[in-house]
Amino acid sequence: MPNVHFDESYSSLIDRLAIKEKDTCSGQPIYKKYYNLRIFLAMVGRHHHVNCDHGKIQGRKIHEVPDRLFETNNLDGYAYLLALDSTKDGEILRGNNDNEMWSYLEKYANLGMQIVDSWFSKEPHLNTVDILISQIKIEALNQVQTSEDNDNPGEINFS
Amino acid sequence: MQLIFKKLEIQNFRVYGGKQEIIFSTDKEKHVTLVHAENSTGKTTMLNAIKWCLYGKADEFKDQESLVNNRSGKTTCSVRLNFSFDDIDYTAYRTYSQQYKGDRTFTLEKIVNGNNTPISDAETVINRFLPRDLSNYFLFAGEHLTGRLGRGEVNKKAIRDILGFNLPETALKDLNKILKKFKSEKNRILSDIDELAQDARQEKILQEEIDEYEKEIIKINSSITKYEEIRDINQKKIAESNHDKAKTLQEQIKDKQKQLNDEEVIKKELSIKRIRLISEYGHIIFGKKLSEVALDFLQEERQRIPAPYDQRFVNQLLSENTCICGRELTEGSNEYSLVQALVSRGNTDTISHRVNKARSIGDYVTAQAERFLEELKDIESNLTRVENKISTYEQTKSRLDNELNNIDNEDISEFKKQYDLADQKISILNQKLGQINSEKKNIKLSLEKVQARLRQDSHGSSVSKEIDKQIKITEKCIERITTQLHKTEIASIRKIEEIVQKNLNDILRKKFKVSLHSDYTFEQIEETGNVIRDTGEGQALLMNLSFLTALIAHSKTRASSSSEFFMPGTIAPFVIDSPFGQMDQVYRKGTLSFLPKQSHQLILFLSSGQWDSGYEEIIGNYIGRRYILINHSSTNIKDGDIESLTIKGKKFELTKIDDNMSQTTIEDISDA
Repeated sequence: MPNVHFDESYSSLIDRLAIKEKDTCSGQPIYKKYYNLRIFLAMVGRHHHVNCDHGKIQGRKIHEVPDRLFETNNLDGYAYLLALDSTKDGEILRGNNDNEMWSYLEKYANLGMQIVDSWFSKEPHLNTVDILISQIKIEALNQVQTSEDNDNPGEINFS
Repeated sequence: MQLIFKKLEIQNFRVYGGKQEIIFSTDKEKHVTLVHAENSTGKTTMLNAIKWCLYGKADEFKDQESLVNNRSGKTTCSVRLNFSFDDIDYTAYRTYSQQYKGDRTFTLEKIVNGNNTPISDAETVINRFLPRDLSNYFLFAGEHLTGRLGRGEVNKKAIRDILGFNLPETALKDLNKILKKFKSEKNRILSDIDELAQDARQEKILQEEIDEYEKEIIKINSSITKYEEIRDINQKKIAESNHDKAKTLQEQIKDKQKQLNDEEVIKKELSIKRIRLISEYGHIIFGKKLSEVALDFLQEERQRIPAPYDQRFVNQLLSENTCICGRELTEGSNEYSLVQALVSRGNTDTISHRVNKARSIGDYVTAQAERFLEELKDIESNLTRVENKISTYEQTKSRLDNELNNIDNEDISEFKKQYDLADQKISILNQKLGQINSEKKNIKLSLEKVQARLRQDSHGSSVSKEIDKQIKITEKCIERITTQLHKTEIASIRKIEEIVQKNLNDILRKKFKVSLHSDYTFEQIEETGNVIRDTGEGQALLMNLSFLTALIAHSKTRASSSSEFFMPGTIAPFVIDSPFGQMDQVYRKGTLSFLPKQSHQLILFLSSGQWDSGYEEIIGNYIGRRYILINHSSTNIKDGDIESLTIKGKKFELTKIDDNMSQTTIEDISDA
């Protein structure tokens, strides 16, 4: 059964993002489950990197999450997309390739962790929630803008 | 760990003249002892006599040195408490000499077959039977039980001790010490390796800084608890004063505070909605690029992914030795080999399912950015509105505060001054705490980076291998105990919550849900979802009594536990002075119905104002022994002023004119 892990050297950052540390305004952790955080980080990682060659965990592996947790929480689709995108081969989805397939999620999540770490380092005076909201907002605005640009037919020449 | 009080003997102690004794009921069914008395005749003294005997101190005594009854003509007083602990009998005896101030003795003896054996280090042993911090949950006055029970580390620890968490908590403390020792040993070893020395030194410095921060955090938290208590006491004093303007202003401030609290709740709810946006939308918005690229790829490859032929179908052709074109597939033939080659790349249910799952991501990624931005805008504009309201209320509250400050009354000014000082200190300490936590977080991050480097560089070093193994084992033990402790604590909290809810459902007119938090503070939530912030004192006392009895009831169920992790919880008698405080009749009756059922020995001190003949029906079957305290007065009392109490139709006089004495005596009326 494949498992997905975090790099121990990011344990403080993980605590800041999930379960252990609670936001002062809401009294809640940002992520209540490690598997949700992992998907978010993997998406951030993939958003900023076209491959996950440098995503291998270097330190001790912690917070093991079995693959079935992603499946039961309907988040496994992201892992399949990442694997297909990385290998460009449908064979990766075959049952006997599970270890490799899930490794892409782990690697991209590790890359995502590096990105999120850099967000926090750039703005040490802001709280975790504000930084994440602001980054998601920037990306959402970009997407809306791109979508409007695509919908705009531009100048039509009737001549 | 069961403690049962058997007999209390008081001699010339405070209002009690001569030698007075009371035998507590130890019957399993009739385990209630009732002591009836008028106010100021010795109920509270009797509760404090028990505390004084056990711990040499009773916080409620203003003057800890005025203990000898001043009309007895004696200079020495004493209290003896006979009790059993885990079925072994003991007698605790404390004396005090007024003549030689400070001359006091305390002995604890074990009684076996009628023979008394003195126990050395008696104070320590008593604290093991019922630690002083814990005793406040068993021996208390109703009027003092209206605050938040779980507030402060001491209280939280006491509650956990009642639940029997002491053993794993001590183990964790010891294991953490061991872990620290191993880590510092490893650090020493690495310091001797030239290329690692600098990082090892850095690790040591950072770890020491974190330790210092942690000590400081504990200190600040305990100071906050102390100042919160001072603030609450002074607020109560103003509210209970006779100064009308001060009372009115205090009421207005309280109302404003309530409005502020309500807005704070709304702000918290909005903040929860805001923080949820991250987990609801974060991965979808950042996942858009992936879904576009990968779904485009799936679209391009739709002829190949999944494969256009099914693995089972190909296997079936091979087993039937016939191709779909009708040609025979003979093993070893060229045709057979060509078809067989298709098996390994044929589609399976797993692949189809996974491709469908991957494709479905595309369905909900669309238009989520707009939705996120709309929701965020809505939440943030509401947050701004609420923050403005909070700011307005704070200004009004500050104006009312100033008016209260300017009242020309010495007492009120002093109470207000103390309140403000405490409030100011709390605010400063909270700011300091926030700053320290943030600094600690940054240092922890640096430490982890250094540790990761050290791990990488020292990997495979034979010198640190053995110590690494020890560190790993210790960490595993800590993790296992912490997980087990957490699981059990959560299960206990849910069980206690259930008992409290049941108790209150039977009593309260208005239904609400009780929510017990992991720090043992609880909230009452209305059906609408609103948190009730300001309950009356009667209801607060009812909640706290219900919580305590539920705690003990739960400990009782675990008393026979043979768990390797947890000790059986502490169970001691409940000794409660004026248990009803500000409660009305309905609450009183409700309290009397759950108190005896959920305690293992119950001793209640009741004034005649707290007793009603109707209660006999509720608690009568549980009463094993019953006493009255008689106030002897030498002054001439008119017949009408003689206080009396009627129990089961029989009248008992609680005041007696007695030229020879002006003190309190105890009378056994168990047979009444």
